Amino acid sequence: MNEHARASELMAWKVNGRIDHADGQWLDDHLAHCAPCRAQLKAEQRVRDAIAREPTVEFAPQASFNRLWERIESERITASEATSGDAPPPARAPAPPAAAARVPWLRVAVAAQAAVIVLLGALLWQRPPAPAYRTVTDSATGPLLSGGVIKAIFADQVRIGDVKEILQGAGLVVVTGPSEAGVYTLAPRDAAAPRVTPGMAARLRADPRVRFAEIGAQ
Amino acid sequence: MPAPLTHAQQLRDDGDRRLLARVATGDREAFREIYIAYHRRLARFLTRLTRRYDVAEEIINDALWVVWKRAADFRGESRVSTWIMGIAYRRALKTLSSRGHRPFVAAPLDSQPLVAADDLGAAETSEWIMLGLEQLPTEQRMVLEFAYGYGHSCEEIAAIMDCPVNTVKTRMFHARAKLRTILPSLAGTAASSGEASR
Repeated sequence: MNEHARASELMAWKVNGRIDHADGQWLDDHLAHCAPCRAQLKAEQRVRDAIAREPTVEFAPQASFNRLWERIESERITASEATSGDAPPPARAPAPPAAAARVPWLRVAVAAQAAVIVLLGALLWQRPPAPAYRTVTDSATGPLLSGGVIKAIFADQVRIGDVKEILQGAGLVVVTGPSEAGVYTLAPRDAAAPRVTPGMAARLRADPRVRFAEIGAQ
Repeated sequence: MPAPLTHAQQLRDDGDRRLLARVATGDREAFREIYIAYHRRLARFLTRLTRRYDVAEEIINDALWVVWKRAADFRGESRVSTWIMGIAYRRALKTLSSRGHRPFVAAPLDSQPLVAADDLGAAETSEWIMLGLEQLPTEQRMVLEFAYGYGHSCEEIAAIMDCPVNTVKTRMFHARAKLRTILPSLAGTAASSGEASR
């Protein structure tokens, strides 16, 4: 590599300030007596200036951050709901035998709980068919829930009447919610068309009263 | 030997490392600071790479979501910015690939040169240079973006693009040579030097 070629390679790192000391010293010495390489360095600086120029379009990072944070929160909530759905309900968890033996009243409490569960079970047996949706923590697969759900967060100032209006417009109903973080789980209102569609989520997102809407896991 | 950081780059990296350590503990405010700082930087190269503001936004959020999830995995072997730019670059390539469209099409080098008159203002010259850049293949263009737009060293660009240092040098050489061919006014009087004889 002749000295002009070496100078050309090094000047790219000189214009971006990342040349090491020894190479920088050599290049400066070369440039001091080489007019063509000095001209090339000037051209290289023009290229750098053009590339480093700030874009004319302004982004709104805070709004984008809010969207990402809602996504993170939504995922966290979904994960925590899924975890709690997997765990056995505390009321049904049998007390360890040794503990039950040491605390006689616990046996009585467990027996009473069992009686209540049997009674509730009997009542449920007599109830009309289950509603055509399920919550995210249900393990059973209802026929109308194969269509998925939408997770949504409404703006803080939105009133109940607004929520009703938004949901009617999108053809959705609330399945559960709001959660502690304000997340609603929504499903299609029409039992004959139970599948959530991207259009439903898009309609929610288009409404300024909705901060977040994503098709989510059931 | 890796090129040293400038004082400003060292200060910024020190601050980034402190923020990232807090992000690893789930600190939302630290994440917001990282996000705001990097949003603008990533937006610049991603909009040039994708030519779509909405796609750039999508990639930024995907990349910074990875930063949130994997902050604890950062081992400090590179600058934080090198790590984040690498994540964003790879996400961008994956997104572009999954959408089935190529980001750039290299123009044949024997196409009509873009001649910028010497008396053009700096802004117009910049526009001509940007037009010339758009004719470069993606990898060559990105090497120039990372070097001139963000001040990354050769070694850092190799880390971002996940390729050998010599590949970066080769891409840089070809990018600059092609740019001078596309924009003859950039060649200056270099044609008379040994550079032109290579």
